[in-house]
Amino acid sequence: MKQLRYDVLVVGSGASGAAAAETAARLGARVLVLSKDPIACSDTKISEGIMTVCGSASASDSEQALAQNMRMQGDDLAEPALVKAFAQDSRGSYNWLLKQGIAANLNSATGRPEALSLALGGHSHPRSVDHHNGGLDFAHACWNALNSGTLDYLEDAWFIDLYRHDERVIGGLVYLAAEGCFASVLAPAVVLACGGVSTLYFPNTDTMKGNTGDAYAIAARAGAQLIDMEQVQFIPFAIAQPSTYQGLIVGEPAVAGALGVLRDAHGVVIQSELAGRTRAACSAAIIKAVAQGRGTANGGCYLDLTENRQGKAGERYVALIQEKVPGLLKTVKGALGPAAAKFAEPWEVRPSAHYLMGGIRTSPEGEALDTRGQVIPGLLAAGQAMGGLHGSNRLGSTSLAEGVIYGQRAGERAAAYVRGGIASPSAETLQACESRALAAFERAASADGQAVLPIIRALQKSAWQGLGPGRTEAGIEATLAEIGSLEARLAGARFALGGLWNQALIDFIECRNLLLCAQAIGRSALHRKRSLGAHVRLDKPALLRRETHGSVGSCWSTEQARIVVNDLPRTRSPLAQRLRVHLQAGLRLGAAKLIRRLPFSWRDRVLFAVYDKALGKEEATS
Amino acid sequence: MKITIKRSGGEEHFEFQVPTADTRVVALDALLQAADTTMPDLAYRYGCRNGLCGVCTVNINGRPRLACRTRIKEGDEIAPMTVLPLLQDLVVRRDEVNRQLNGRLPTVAVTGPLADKRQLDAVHSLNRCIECYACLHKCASHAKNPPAGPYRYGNPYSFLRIQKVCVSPYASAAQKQQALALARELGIDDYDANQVPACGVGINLKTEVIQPLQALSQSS
Repeated sequence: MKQLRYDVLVVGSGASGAAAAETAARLGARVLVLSKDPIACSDTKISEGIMTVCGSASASDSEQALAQNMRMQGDDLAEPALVKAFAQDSRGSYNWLLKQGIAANLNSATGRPEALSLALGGHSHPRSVDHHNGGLDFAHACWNALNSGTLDYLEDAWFIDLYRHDERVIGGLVYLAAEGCFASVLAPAVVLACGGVSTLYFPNTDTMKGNTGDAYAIAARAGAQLIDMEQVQFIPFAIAQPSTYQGLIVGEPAVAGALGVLRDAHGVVIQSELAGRTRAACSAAIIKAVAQGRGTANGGCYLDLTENRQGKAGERYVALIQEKVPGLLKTVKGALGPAAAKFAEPWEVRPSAHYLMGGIRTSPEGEALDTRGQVIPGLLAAGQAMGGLHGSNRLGSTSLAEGVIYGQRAGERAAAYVRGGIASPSAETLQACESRALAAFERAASADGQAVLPIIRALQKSAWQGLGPGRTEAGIEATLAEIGSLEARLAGARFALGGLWNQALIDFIECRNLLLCAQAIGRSALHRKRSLGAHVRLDKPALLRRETHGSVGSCWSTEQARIVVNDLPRTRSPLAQRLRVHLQAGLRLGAAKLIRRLPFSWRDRVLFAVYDKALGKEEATS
Repeated sequence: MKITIKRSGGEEHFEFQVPTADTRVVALDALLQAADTTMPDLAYRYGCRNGLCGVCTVNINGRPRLACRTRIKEGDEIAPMTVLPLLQDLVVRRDEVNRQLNGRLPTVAVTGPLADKRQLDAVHSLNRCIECYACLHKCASHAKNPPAGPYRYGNPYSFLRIQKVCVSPYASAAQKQQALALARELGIDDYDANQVPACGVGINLKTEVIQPLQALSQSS
């Protein structure tokens, strides 16, 4: 079997993979990047391209304020050390992007990147930096980092499993689809930068097809601890129909403006003052209404932005949305028609899987931890692959920063770890690792083809029903039972191993990972007997709320051949701080309510000023 | 709706059951349904379903199109791109296109605010590129390359990446020279500016990329 030797292997080529690889290479390591999709064609590329940079728009902003926002809006569930590192590094991570040539809009007086003048939902300060071409600007910067000639990469490469020897990670097995063969990559440090599992919920997802939970499954099979796997972020405003557009994102809470409301199928307002609310809160309102039988035939509700068009302020609102998030309106136009894209009609929306806040448990340096909380030598994770940074709700615009911040940290740590020189494994060790990793594929090898895709489709259907945005104990258990039978079906799957780009083999690799993640999500969700996060527990809410507060750890048990879960105690923020945050949120909501109830002419003047400021800044500087 | 899907083993006909709720279907809808019904091991690329990631390009009736955003009708043919090496069914090998540039272009760092924001307009326009590689279709320069690579001759995409360096307000004279030298190596001087292929997302490759690069090359 083909063998490739490097110091550092990075799996994934989005923001976290690019930052990890470029950083490790700059520090002297020989780096290989593996990517399933073409290089830099990742969720970073298709994002809105809006990134949290602390202090970019407000002199009163601080690292403490950002860290507090993240912890409080995520139900105080996040790991404090991870949040602190994030808050410290957000500016530095933007500097990394500038070095890679991101098309930035820097303020001529302060030199800092220009941010949206409105704080996104859950942020106490405006600090979300937008970009002319959205995620494409980030993708071009990542492309520069990956094509600078300082590192190697392979596309069409499915990383399958890690090799471990004497506790250390020594590399892993990869399927090279363009060559139609397996290969071993020998590297003493491996950075998993291939997070995301939203494809488990296809077609109710707005992310790349490659989101098959590879990072979590690969890490768990190698003994890493996963954390808060039940915390799947369902973005509230996504298309319910038609199927071509199903699941695609059409708005953030902030897009709802001051006067946008959510209505049930009968037109009754179920939530207002959306702009200041978190994604989780908006999703919950829709899910509850649907569960009560007040949803649309497609299981959604209506996002009604029509009132925003009133008056002089209305013109500014429309111009602002058109200017800042044109991609979202393009989706609305394609899916719901031109009138909807002009805010003249309400949009039928339904939550869609967007992000996994759980993931691999790591140190603030990105080192993966095992079930005893010990570092697994040579294994790192960055970006969406890691868990514990966002608790139960990820604030808008934090994911791009997370990718670069933790990509840099993991790249730095990996380069330092390999610098001393680490002995290569013996030929026998390697052979043993290879045969272990290949066993599942050799069992499946057969001349008689049998597709794996139907198993994936059955899993996706069941996951949306049981592990989706609305959950009950019975529903979760039913999906776990289905997962069990699908695992048996996958174990019996047979397909030919040869050929270039073997789709059955690719589906097999991804299905195995999806099944493991689904089990981790299901068992973690069952363990946490309360409604917490971007999903809603629809059963016995009064009883559920009395449960204790903490994180849910999960890991793969080789002996039991299943995911086992445990409690992870968590430090809570001081009571005074929690009360203050609730008070501030209450005041903001009150102010938003007050504005809505002002006489029309007053309201129009207030909102005109708000939207005009948000727009005018752009015009004055361009 | 009867369509044809060109697979590695030959053409296959597919009877696409168009959903009654929505008849404005795109090629990707048909491919997903084909994989779910009669062709479970159909190999095809897609990513975001939203016209952004650029990986789902296929030839529809002989022309390169994003599968996720191109409407189809009775009798249409979906086939792999012909300008890149075929791997399986509708999947072509893409990586040699970027390898042509790997390690040969300077990274232009952003060093501070600009006196006039309009200095970035040209970069913004070129950054609309989603790397769908539609512009390799009927590109006479790219056609001179051996199909499997390595690619000695450029294409509008590779010239666009070079042009991004040349129009950057942050690029030094040396960086622009390095970019221009690469453009010459890839054959910018011999590129037929009257036969520039169309861009998949509407960038004017002739006036924004090929012609200005040729002018720059000839003037220096």
